[in-house]
Amino acid sequence: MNLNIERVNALPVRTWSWLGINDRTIEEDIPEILPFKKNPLITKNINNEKDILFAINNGSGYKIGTGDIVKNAEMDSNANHAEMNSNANCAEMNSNANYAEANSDVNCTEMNSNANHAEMNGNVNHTEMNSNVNYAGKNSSIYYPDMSNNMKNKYLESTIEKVSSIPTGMGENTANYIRNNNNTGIFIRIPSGKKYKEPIFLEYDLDGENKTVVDFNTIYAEENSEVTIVMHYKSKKGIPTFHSGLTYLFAEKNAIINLLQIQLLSEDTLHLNDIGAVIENGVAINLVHTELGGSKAYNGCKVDLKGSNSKINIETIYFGDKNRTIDMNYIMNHHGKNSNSQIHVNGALLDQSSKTFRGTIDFKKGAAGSVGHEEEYNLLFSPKIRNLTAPLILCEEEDVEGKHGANSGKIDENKLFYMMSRGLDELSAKKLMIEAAFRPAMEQIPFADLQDQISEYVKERLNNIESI
Amino acid sequence: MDNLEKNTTSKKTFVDDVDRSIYDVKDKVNASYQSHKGLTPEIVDEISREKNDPEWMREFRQKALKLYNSIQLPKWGPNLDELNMNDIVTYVRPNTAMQAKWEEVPSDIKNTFERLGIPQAERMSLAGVGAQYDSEVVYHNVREEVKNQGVIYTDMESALREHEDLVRSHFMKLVPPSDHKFAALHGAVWSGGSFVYVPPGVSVEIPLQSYFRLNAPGAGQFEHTLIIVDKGANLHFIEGCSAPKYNVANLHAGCVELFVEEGARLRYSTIENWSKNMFNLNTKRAVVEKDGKIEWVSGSFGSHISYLYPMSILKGENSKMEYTGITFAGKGQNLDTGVKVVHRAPNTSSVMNSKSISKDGGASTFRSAVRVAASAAHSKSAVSCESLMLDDKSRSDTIPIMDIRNDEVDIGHEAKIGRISDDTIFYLMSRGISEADARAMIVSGFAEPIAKELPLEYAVEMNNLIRLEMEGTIG
Repeated sequence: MNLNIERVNALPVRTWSWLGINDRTIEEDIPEILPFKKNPLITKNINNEKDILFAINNGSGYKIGTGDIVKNAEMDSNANHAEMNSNANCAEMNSNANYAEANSDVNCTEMNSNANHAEMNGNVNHTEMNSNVNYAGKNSSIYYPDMSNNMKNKYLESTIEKVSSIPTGMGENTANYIRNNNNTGIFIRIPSGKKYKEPIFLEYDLDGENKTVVDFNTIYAEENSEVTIVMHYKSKKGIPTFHSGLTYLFAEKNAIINLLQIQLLSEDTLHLNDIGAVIENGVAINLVHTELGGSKAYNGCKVDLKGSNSKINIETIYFGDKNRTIDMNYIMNHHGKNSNSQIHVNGALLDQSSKTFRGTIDFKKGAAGSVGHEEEYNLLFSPKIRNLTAPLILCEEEDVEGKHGANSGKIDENKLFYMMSRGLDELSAKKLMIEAAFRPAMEQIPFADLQDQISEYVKERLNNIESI
Repeated sequence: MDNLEKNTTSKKTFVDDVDRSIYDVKDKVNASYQSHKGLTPEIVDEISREKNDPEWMREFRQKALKLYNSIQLPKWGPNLDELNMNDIVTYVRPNTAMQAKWEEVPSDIKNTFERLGIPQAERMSLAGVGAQYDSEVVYHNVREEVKNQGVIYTDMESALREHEDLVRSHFMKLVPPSDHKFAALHGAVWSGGSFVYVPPGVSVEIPLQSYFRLNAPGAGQFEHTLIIVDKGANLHFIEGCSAPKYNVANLHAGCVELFVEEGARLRYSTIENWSKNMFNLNTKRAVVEKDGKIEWVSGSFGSHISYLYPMSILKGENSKMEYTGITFAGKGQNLDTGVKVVHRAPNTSSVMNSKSISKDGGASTFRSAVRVAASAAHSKSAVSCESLMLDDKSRSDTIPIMDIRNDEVDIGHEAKIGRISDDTIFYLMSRGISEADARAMIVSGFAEPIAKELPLEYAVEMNNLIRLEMEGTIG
């Protein structure tokens, strides 16, 4: 089927169109989007955390639970759409309620229009609701184990409603597409004060049976909470596959979210990754992006640093070889006083690959004391590459510090000479330099197994290079 | 030479005569063409006739007019809705002198003349009131001196007559009318400007200045500057001055085309201080051949809205470009300036240093483009832009783009934005300097890299201008 999305990764202010950087249009052929039959959740520790609201989206909305209980193989033939599973095995589930329909924010074309609006407004759901509960989420005394599933669903709904208006890096058209066509994803809401140190590992693995992953993820951290989430995207070689993911992040006061999106897709996968985040006072976000694979990789991330003393640190690495294209759009909107954003991008371009990086630091009025730093280092290895960079700083507040630096070029001759004088041949020396460029990001991934996987992936890609 | 004197003398008389009855003339004009609004082919023909254009130029103007009517206004920069093209057309027609009455010149302009110590004689000229002016004499003296070296330094209309082939082979070849709407407008109604040709190997010791020709009719509004620096030659050309230039018509759509031949060097300095009602939509472009070098020095202080991006095409191997610029945006100003460079040959290099200051609600934008083509191996480029915010009412945006298509390159870019540090002010005040003076000193220091590239009298004037602008902030 045809995928056509316009105004992707748009710059917040336009410039001369002959530069070809204002935005992109995606026009590609993708496999038909079918249900993602795997459970993306790898570690099931979260099962034991009753106070964390966790749900897995199997394409027809979020279902509370960790997915063991969701059997995608069984399709209810009464449902108007193959993806609907109204025979979910969860004992607590009200079997009349269909979560897809209860959640009116999932813009699912799969919605059964005969279902639930009647039931939603009907008796059962409402009488169970505790009318003192504030579903906007401010009331942190809600204790999830005490909630009935219907209440949990309402809570989930209201959270998603809140985050769905967050603007994203790739733009409205992409976010809408993913909201309308998602077939997997997770929802997680950490209650206030809970520091969940166990990283949550998710794996989206594409193969012949699962050619499409359109993941719609919501991560909501209440006051003073902490969570670490790792999303690992990979795919089998030789099969055209499609991944597009949308992740909303919302962090209340002093929360910490660590999000690692490890993209090690094959060169047969079209990859889109979109993030929209809002962070309040004192929040710290750490974001790691390894954009190493995909035939074409699009990555957009927009963060509203609404709160004072909020900060975000982004480490991104990319690796372009053959005909790969990588297109990025990071926008940091500083609203809160003393907010801080740091963006570090390191990458290598070989063969005929091309990379576009747009990084915008936007100081809004009132963001006094804010600091925004952006740094980009690009190693270039071939005369046929294309390296497009747009490091923007927009400012309407005087008491700020904004800095960006970008460097592009070949490997330092002196460094190369030194390594060769130590016995390495030129090719090995250059490969080593590429691995070194990825080091800063690797250090932000404190999981030995994952680090190994990334190293293996990079080594394999480098092995296929005959000369650079 | 004699011819020219006769012409200028007769022109002077003409100007004096018209001055008293300017309003009558205008009214007549308005009455006569109420039926056509905007720029029509008839008006363009009239302009061409009045200037005694050769036929090819008349046709050129007409083609440009067609383009002007078909191209849209740019959508990526400051809003141009306030620009009233119909108004401006009235000043483009021949026989309407582009002159104001001294009484109507805004008082802040007159005050600035006073503060900057501009001699009385020059004030009228700068204000577009068109009085007689000494610079005519200076201009002629300079012309004589450089003529001995074989340099041609004349106005565009004369150049069109006396050096037609040279002009024709270069005119709007670097900035074609199809480039954008205001290049097309310029192509249709251009008038006045300077033509300079420096023969091979000649080094022109004194800077040539466009200031000398300020009182020519149509001066400064749609003027076309065409400079050819032949092989191995050397020239410094200065455009503008720090005194504010007032113009009744509020659009400046000039065009500057610079041809730097092999091994030649051209330094093009500009201080623009158009009055605060002006739309400054100027296009400047240079092409540099093998081993050549172009240096841009630019100070933008005036105008209400500016679109100004000097562009350099590094066409020949080893060619170089240097840009040093400052933009100072104050109340009511939206100055969108920057620089563009295209590296098209190996071993080329470009260095760009830009500073911008915003205060009092002004908005300044630095917009740049560095494009390194696949053919430009071993090229280097370094862009550095610094922005200083003087209060929290103003805006400063930096939009630098780099498009690199070769790996054998060394491209670096850095940008910084911030404010005057409280510590620095405190230190200066502890040394007995008032806060206002301290701020002015710091801003002058910030502008120093540009000031030192200018001839002394210009640097002094620029510093005075900065001082004046800063006093406005505190006072």
